[in-house]
Amino acid sequence: MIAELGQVALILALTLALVQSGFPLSGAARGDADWMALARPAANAQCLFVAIAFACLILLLIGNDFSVLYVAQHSNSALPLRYRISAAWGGHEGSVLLWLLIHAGWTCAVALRSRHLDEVTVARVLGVMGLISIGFLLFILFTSNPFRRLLPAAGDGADLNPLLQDIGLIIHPPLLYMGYVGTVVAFAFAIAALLGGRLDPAWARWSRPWAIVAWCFLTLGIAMGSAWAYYELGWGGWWFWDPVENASLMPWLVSTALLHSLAVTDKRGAFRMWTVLLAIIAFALSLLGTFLVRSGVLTSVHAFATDPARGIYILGFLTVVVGASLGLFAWRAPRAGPGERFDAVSRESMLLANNILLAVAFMAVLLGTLYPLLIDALGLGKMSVGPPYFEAVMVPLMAPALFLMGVGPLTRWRRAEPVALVRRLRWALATSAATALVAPWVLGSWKPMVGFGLFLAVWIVCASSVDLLGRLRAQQIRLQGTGPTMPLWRGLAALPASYYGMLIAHCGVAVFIVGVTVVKGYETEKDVMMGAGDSIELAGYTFRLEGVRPVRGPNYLAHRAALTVTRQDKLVTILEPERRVYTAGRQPTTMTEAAIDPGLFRDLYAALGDPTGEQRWIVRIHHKPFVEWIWAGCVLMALGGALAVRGLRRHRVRRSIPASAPAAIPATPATATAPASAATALVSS
Amino acid sequence: MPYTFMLAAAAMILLALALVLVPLLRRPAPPRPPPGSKVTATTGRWPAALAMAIGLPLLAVVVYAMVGQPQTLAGVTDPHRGVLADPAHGDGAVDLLSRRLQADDSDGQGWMLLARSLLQLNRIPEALAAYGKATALAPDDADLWVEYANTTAIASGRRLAGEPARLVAQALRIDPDNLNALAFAGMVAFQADDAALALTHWRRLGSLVPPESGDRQRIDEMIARAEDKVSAGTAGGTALDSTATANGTGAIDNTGTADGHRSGPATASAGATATALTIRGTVTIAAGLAAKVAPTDTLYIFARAPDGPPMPLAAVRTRAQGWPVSFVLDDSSAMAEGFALSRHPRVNVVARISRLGSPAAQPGDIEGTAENVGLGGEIRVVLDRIVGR
Repeated sequence: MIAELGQVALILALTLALVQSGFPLSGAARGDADWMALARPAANAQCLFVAIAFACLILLLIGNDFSVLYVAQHSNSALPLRYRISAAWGGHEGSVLLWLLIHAGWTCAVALRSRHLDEVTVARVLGVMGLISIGFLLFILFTSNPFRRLLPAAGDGADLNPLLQDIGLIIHPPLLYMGYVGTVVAFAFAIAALLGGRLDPAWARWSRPWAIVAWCFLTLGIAMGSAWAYYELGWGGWWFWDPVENASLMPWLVSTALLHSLAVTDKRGAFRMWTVLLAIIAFALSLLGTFLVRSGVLTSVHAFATDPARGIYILGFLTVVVGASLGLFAWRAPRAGPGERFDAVSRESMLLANNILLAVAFMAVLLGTLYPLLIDALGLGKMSVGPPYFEAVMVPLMAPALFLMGVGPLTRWRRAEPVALVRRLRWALATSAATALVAPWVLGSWKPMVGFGLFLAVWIVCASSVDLLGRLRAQQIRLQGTGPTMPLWRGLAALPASYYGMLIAHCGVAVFIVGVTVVKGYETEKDVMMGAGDSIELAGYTFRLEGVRPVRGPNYLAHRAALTVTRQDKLVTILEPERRVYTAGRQPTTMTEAAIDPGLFRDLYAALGDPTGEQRWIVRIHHKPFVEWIWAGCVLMALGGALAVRGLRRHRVRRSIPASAPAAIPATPATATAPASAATALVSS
Repeated sequence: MPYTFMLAAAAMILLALALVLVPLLRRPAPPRPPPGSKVTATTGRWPAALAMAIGLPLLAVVVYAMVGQPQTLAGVTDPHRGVLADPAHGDGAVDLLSRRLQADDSDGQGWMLLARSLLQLNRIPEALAAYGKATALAPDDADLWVEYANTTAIASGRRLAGEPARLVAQALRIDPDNLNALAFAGMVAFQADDAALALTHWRRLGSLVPPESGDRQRIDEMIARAEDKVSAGTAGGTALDSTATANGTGAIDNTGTADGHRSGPATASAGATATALTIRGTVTIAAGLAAKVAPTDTLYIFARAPDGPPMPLAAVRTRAQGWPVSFVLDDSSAMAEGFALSRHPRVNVVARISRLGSPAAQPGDIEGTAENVGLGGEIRVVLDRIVGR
């Protein structure tokens, strides 16, 4: 009966989503406070019922109820409990349910944390989110029912895709979905602002923390997926420019642009239409990503689902959402009015350049992702757009954006002196150039691309340091005469958290660049046939295959190799890669389970391939310098985002004290040039 | 529909209503707005409450009627039974199906479902009659014949000689490589003290089951016992436990297929229909990619159902050299029971060069696809892309 009740819960969630959008939106239009007030309770109730449905699916999976088609397809009685639970998002229907749950969670969070907003805005925001819920609830109920019964029931399940039987894949989809779906909040705020016809900075201020939180999750989700690919696919790669990866990268690029654009709209009232447009595009891209992955138009490990009905539904939904949003935008945007003016060299212009570069980068990825599909759909043949295209396009686009990342924070709003800017940054420039020339030598050999990458990374760190020092000095100057000189730590503590958030996120990008550049420049690998007792050398390490022994797992059989790794006759580690054969499915599936010895400056990576004869095996060994920095950089970016949100919230509390009527949008400060307010206004761009 | 479900569903509807109606109705009445204000006095509270109180349950029932499967409620109280009806709740669904089939007895799938359900319910004589109908309507389904044989064996007190032996022989005639039939035929021979024949069947079975399969160990045990008996030359000896036949359809547990069909049609089709059920063609490689192929690489060619599970219906494996490589896919190259090419009028054919010799796609493999191919056709697949992640 659990399955049937789960379905009933989804149906009730649909009815509640109708209440959540219907009454509040029409209430906001006709000024009925009671109808508008329905938004919050309906949103919370909808979330509760989606959660009940999700709990039902988990219970069915834990209980091995193979009379439910989804359970029979994606689980098996031999599957360990944690994978039986994570099987809830291992297949199409469950993924859609997770999407809904996370969407409902975001809706609920907005309902709970919007006390400072006026009723009309809350009603519109939650109403728009309810409309999106309706779309996905109809999708799951009519095309992707996870509770469908299977009669007669299967004796056992077909097992979860072995690729997904990994801790990384337990966490990756929920994190990524948190980010994907989180773009809906900024979207809903933007649409609410368009509906209300008020494209003032208020909506940007309200939606900024939400956009940053979603961006943090998206960053972590993408990093997690990349790390998973690295250690689970046994290939040693960390990014493949696979369409599914691109589907998550595109919203990330646009979300990154959105964060910066929101800051400008919030602080300076500029970029108003552009920011709204970015919020719409970011959400449209998360829908596009859902379409690409869920419709099965792509053939890759992520795209398990192949059913044209589903694809057509999502495409239709995407068209309706994007069409309606852009229509509304076209109708309302002219009312936005011009923003504040700014000079060719100013913080605004730097952020504008950043936005344009990120937007162009997104379009380049979009082109590379959709073009092969389009060619295929038009029957013009098959083609594949691979890493060479993306690398050729992304490097020249991102390099100037990264360079500006160093300059931007130092530049003043409205108008900056180029000469003063150059003077302030001359040492940073010299240090970066010197590092670019020397560091590659230290790492092995001089390579132009490595030098260039390291130049950008060091540049970001140095310029950020210059900025930090400048702010501390400004503080000292300001406080001179008011008392004793402030000690350094007090000065550091006095800077707002959101400023540190920006600093850490930017340094995260620098760390990421170091990782990417060095690993691309100096990684080495060997693909060899080895028998017990054979050894090979790689990057100064000696790998000796001690032997391969059979191992039995809960739902697989494996061969586990033992490779002792020594350097200058000292034992470094023992790597134990496995080659697993998952036997629970009808067709035994072979999987490699790489063994990795991670380190701050290098990873040693071994994967066991096929046996090639009596006691001989294909062994793949990689030496990957600085590869962990890639993910460390992403974690730093997300951490920076989290700090920025914290800072913004405090800032908001401080700012909202004098503004007793939040509905009345405070006028954009025309000139925030007083030193004290400049210090706060300069935070986290 | 069981009362517990109706009660639980009703409770959920009430909860949903309470969660929206209570906050609405308990809201303090708004103060009268000043004249000319944009926010008008509340007029919508009671209409909204009424609309929700009626509309929400009504809509829920309507949607459930559209997408729900209330008929399954009676049947699937015990997930491990896997039958249409649970004896504790009466055999409603089975009897319903039975009546439907009496009215229209040309539905082979229906008879098969009925037969299996009756077998699970231990209504053996009726199950036998249903299997009789089902095999008459689908005479080429070897698995069905094995199930029929199994049911007959249960009816005759697990004696395999006679009718069960005749039925399983029929299954083997249709498909000499049917795993269940081979297992069962071996047992028939073993029980009849013909260990040599049993050994022949089981060795053949062993050669067809991949070494990684979970069934392999049981098969090896059976072979070992038959070998013991042959070498001892004694009649009688240790009787092989034939209860395995009663539990399912022999040694191979084929209940875990992704699409839930307990068994599929014959895996190797013979006779006149064979040519119509094959896909022939050639595989070539795009010029730019030819250099990436080593002569030791393996070429897999397989067919997949466009809307089915990712598991191939049929697959062949060869060396990635000597372009163009020609191939034939048919039911004899089926990967597993229940996944037969001949069941799918249109399939996607994929060719893939594997570096590691692994059938699962690995990054760096070279792939080509021909989509939506009809059976009986000649096709050309071009290996033209590198597998990403």
